[in-house]
Amino acid sequence: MKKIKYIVIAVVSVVLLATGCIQEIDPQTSTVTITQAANAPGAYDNFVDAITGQLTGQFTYNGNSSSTPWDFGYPSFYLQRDVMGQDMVCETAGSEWYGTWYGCGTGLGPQYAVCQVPWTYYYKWIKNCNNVINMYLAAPTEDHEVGAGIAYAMRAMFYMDLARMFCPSTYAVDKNAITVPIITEETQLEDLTSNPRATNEVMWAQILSDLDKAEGFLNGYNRPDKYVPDQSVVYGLKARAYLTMEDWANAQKYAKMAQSGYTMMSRDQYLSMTDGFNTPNSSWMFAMTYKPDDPNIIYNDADSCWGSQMIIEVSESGCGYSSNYVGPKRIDYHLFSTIPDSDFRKMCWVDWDIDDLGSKDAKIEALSAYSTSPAGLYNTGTTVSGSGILGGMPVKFRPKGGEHSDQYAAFTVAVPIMRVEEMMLIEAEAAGMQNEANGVALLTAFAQTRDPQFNYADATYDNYGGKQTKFQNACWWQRRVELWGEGFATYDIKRLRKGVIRSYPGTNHPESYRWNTTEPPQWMTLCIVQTETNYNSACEQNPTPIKPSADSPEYTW
Amino acid sequence: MKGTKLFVTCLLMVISTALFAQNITVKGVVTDADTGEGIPFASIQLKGTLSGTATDADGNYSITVPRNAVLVFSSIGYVTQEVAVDGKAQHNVMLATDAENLAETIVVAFGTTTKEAFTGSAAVMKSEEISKRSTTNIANALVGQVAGLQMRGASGAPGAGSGSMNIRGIASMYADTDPLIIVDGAPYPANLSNIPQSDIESISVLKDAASAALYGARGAAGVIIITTKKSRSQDAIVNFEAKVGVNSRSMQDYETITDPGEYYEAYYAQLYNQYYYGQGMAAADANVKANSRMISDLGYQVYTVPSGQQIIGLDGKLNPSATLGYAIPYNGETYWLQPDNWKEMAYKNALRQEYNLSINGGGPKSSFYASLGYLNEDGIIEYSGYERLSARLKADYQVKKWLKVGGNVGFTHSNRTSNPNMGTSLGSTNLMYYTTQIAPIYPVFVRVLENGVPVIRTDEHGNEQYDYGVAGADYPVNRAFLQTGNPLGSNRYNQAYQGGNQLNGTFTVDVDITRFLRANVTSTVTWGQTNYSNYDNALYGPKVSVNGELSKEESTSFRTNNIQTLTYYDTFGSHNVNVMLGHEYYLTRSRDLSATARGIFTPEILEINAAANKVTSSSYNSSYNVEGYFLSAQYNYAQKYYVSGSFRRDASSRFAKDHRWGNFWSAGAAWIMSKENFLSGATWIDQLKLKASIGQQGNDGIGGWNYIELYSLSPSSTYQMAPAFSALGNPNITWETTTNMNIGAEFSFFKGRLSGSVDFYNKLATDQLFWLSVPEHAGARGYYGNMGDIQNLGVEIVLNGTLIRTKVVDWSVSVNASTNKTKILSLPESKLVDPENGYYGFTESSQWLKIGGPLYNAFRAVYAGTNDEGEALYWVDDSLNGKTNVPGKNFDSTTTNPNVATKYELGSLLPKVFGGFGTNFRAGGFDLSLTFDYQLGGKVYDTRYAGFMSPCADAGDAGSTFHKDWVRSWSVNNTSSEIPRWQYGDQYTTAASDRWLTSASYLNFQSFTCGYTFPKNLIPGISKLRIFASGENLWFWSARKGLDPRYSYTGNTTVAVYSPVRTISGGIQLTF
Repeated sequence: MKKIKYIVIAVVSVVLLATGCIQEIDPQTSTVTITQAANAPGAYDNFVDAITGQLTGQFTYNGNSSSTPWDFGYPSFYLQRDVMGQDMVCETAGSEWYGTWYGCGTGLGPQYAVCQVPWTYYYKWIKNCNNVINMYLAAPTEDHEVGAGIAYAMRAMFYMDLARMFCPSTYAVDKNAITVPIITEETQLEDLTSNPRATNEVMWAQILSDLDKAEGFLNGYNRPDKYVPDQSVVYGLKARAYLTMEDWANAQKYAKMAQSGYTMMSRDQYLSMTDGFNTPNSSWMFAMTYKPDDPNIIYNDADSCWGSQMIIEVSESGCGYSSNYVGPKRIDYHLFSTIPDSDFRKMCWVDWDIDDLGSKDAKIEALSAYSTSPAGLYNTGTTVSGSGILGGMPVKFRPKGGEHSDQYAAFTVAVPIMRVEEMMLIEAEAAGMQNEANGVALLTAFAQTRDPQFNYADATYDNYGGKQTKFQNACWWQRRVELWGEGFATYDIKRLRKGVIRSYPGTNHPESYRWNTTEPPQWMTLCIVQTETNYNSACEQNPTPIKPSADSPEYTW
Repeated sequence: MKGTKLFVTCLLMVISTALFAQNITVKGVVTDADTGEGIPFASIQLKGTLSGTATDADGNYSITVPRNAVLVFSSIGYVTQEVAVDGKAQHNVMLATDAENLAETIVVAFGTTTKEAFTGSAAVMKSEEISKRSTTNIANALVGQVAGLQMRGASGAPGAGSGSMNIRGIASMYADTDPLIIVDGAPYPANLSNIPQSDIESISVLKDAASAALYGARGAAGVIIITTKKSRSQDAIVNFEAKVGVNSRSMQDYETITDPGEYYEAYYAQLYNQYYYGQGMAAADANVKANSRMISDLGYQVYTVPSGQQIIGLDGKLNPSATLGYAIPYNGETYWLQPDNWKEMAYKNALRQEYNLSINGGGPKSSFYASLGYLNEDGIIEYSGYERLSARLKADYQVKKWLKVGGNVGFTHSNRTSNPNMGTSLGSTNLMYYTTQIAPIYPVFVRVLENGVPVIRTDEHGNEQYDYGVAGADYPVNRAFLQTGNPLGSNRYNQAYQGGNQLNGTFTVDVDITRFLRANVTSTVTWGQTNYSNYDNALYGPKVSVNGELSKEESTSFRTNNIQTLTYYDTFGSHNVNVMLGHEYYLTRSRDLSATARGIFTPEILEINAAANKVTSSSYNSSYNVEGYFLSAQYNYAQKYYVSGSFRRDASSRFAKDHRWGNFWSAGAAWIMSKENFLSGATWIDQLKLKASIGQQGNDGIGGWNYIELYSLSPSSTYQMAPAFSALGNPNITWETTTNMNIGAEFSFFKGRLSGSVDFYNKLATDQLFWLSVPEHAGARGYYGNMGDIQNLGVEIVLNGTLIRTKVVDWSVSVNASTNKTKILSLPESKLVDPENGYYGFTESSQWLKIGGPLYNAFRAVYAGTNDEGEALYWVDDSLNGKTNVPGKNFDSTTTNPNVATKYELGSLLPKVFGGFGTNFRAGGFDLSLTFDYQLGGKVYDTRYAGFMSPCADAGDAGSTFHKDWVRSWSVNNTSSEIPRWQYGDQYTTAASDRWLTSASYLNFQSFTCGYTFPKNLIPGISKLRIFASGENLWFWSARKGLDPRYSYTGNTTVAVYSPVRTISGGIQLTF
């Protein structure tokens, strides 16, 4: 009897164990554990690729949701920064997603989600850099040096952006003004709860030190495409850094070094209706690209991407915020009116004169000088856009391959991060700040490639409240025209201590947004999201910008 | 296989050994005389001695006694019966129910028990009550019926899943708080709409540790056990039920402006006020400017006025000469603008039909239950509906005297027609939001004038053109409201459906190893398959240029649950013992495969193969695994003193290897006071029971891989994937533990005229799976850790009273009420904002969560009325120097800028009391029952009312309708108003503040049923015939018309398209 019982218990135990033993389960999808990532073939290089691979295309802020059409990566910050100034004009009726930045909206306050956007993006990007640097330092082998170089270069680039967006003052004015908290490969999680914002002095030293390392590691690196940085990009980043620091000698030196191997965009390249500002060419030093199966392209009718905001020649597709829902972000009327007709860059924006032509047919005929879809452009300007006019519409950023009806294809474009033209302008400005005649010569040489009739004496040097010389204003004007839409407006206004002028006779800024200031507006110094200051006790806050209560009196030039 | 053979051999040997015993072994089954069901744990005593035994869970017993013995069969709720053995080895005994002392059987963890023996706290809903309801998802029938249960965000969409449920308060701050659902013994994470309510025998809601701890691992938030029907009788019974009814919209709307003229007046007023008062323009200029700005903002002008006149006159009223409709010539056609009634066009009354047929019966060795059901529920929104076909076969068979096997196989096929506008966010993909939010000036269709008559514009195929508000593509002007959206149009030409199949098999084997030892093996396999198809049309809307888009998705899930138990039970005199040892293994694996293509050949072939351009494809799979070992023991002395205990050790795949296992336990006791001699004199007491329990359960509800750093992959080049950082991990996370204490009493007085229960509970959730925030410059916002303790303290009262009980008339009333109080006992130090200055808390989701404070503690600016200009004011505590992340105490000054307004803690938003009440009435063959549910106290943030009361800050806000209350705004003639001025450009008029915290009390008339049962055998062959009418979600009262506090605890920031739908149906029940 007893024996039987034991056997029975044994049998039951066998059945028990037959279905037993908890399993090790690893993710089987596009989210992986660090262990899986580290064990994957080519792990180190994969981590390096991720640094630049996710600059665009992903809904990094909102996860997989496409409900916020500004959630499309690095180029979105171009627009956030450019609409805060005066050179880019937003429509106000309809779903203008950049209204918060253009109109000093409540969302800029630290209690709002929009305020969190740069924080979420940049520090995730920085974390990817820190990971690679950590991996390199743990086992510093020669074949890992390029990866480390890319990580250092990109980290420097990200911190330069953050410093310029969040610091109330530039390095040259106040070395002790505070930027953002620094996190490097050495920072421990427990240090973060009391990590103060670094001063300009500390921050820019950190940036330069990273760039020095990157310069060394990337020496001789021959990159596969322009979507990853090489040594010339590091020179370019150094030129930007020294320009901001107003270390003119170094700015000139590195801007010059960076230009090696590149040539300026020609008139044809600049105005190409198929490839204009959507494909890397000989002038592009560094870029990023949307890919056909990026979430930004696939979801929400591709309405949540760069193209939806800046590529306006897709009326036929029925989609795209700029072409079909809200209307395009236009050039400031005053800036446009200062571009001579002989400057070919003027063809990047539709001339206001076309609105004065009598018939619809005449207008469409005139628009065919700007686009292979003049009727679509006409519809966008006159019907879609609240202002109902054609003047000032941008055609700088072209739909891919000139495609007008399939926005998915049209928006799968590359976007420049650095062009040789910017380097030439840095070189000219930096040279001129040391010896004006040298600068004028360089600037003239540059400008004459755009406008053969350029004559320095007749250059535009609107001052916007700054205290610069005619020369520096002339350089700034070139930058405004040459680099329009590429994310430099806020940086330059803060660097040059300019005001903003949106209210003047004939302005195309809409009512209730016509604000003039005599110094860089408060809203260009972004607030830090409150959750950061809540959990990082050492992090000071910037003041919440207050929207001007009324339009300013018109400024007379 | 070899094991099985050995096993059976062993068992045979056990049986043969028994034959050598001296006395006779009597066996049999003890059944309920009414239902034919086995009576579990009935006592069988050898008369004149203290020795005896008890039946097993199914009523079977076996006892070895002298050949001339007399056996006494007794069980609570039944009349005791004596049976002489007379040398016969088989005695099946039927016990008559004792009407005065009815004992309920309840299904508990891994078995059943009687209500008397139960030391825990549970609510039971039996098929009799369930059958009175007409719900597609049975979870909806629990609200108001189960004390302590709350549901939020339930959808009335045909075939929808359940809303989120909470049992006894909020079990956790960051991990899941939904109860574990068990169907026929196995965890059931799928949609409960897959189980027809007519197949359900009972639902037990286990609330405390003693009842739920055996599901230790995941029982912290309570357990809902659903048991399907089995045969109740040995005679064949055929049941047929048919219900046909009408679904209609029960949601109430806010009192918004619905007249286009009134809307223009309201829009105009804010502009005029800005120009006239704000900018000091002359009245006539302000009038002209406001009129033109109004049309440029709104895009659409739907009134025609004589040329040179304005739509709104200087008196602020609609021009009396204005006529509705406005013509715009464009591209050779004359477009015609006129408003449509969106709500009316969106909703309709819909048919609901349900038919169920069941057959049950059996023999002495077997029972059999089969059912077939069909449900067809049309949605109240066009192109939405649910169709379900279900079948079930449940049978068991006594193979040998010591071996019983059972099977339960259910299959459900469902088809859900949906539409792409069922989102819950406040946006254009939420039809409900869209149609209630849009200003009453906008048309649904694009119209043109044909021979001077407005007609809906059609394309070359005769399809009607819906207005998506895109200038040029639709009307020549832009619509201000949610452009590119038109949920009615999307419904019309888009096609979305979801097909589902679920096959569910449970197999059980019971082996009686000895008289007192039984083994049970229960294995459940559930296979679920869902296929989605979503077609975005090529005619209108965003997919025109790509010739339509088609998405397909197939997902399958395969879940297995294996339980092995070994039960020892014995009776020594008055001592009854039952000990169970078990093992459970749950594994679920799901796979998903999907693809999207554009360029559709024809909408008649909605397959990827007939599409030109394959855009994306994806596949992934996920798994989840839990394993546990458990031990439970019950002991009672003379069925007067009950003690129970359990222990369970569980592992979850959601934690790292070294932190995977958790130990859970419970202990409970019950004392049937009414059986004591000192109460024998109190004849009015039928039963009085005191009970207490304590125990610990776990919670792992945070999703997978939070214990390790995660990376998200995206292509870095054509043939290369790159991992970018996505989340931090914490290798140390482990089970969140809930310690659950319960003290209660159950009573029945005056021959069952008054019965009920009172329960006090104290739930402590410790080592919470807490979301630990880190400063975001870490690259992430936080990670999980086991920190923080919260407490839920509450009382539940259930009362049932019989007012009239005669042969002809019966009338009873029941009511239940629960209170729950939450308290945060400790928080992770890193979360505390400023402990140095006494702020032991942090803010999140507009709540101030502090040590010692409640959950859902509202943290908002406080509205201070209006200033002399009519602008909204908010209080400031000057001592905080502008800080908005800690609560203010003093009301020192006011500001018009809510960004610098101080936030104050305003107390818990959770309701004070909630529950339900109902009544049952019967007179002869006529019966009537009504149920209500209610909630008292608590606050809810009325986001939608705030939106409707908001003047436009800029043109981007234009296009939404306004609440009629706008006319009561502050104005120079109405300076005493608490509502700020109605002026365009004012950004902060309706800023977030306590102004929008509204009472969350509600009363819901949930259901009624009235029927007539014809006298027995009126028609030969038909033993029962009943006709009835019933209704669900009949009427709803809340603090503000349109506000439904049942969406969430915090506010209506999201709303379901389908708030619960009103169903009124009639039906017939036939039993042969």
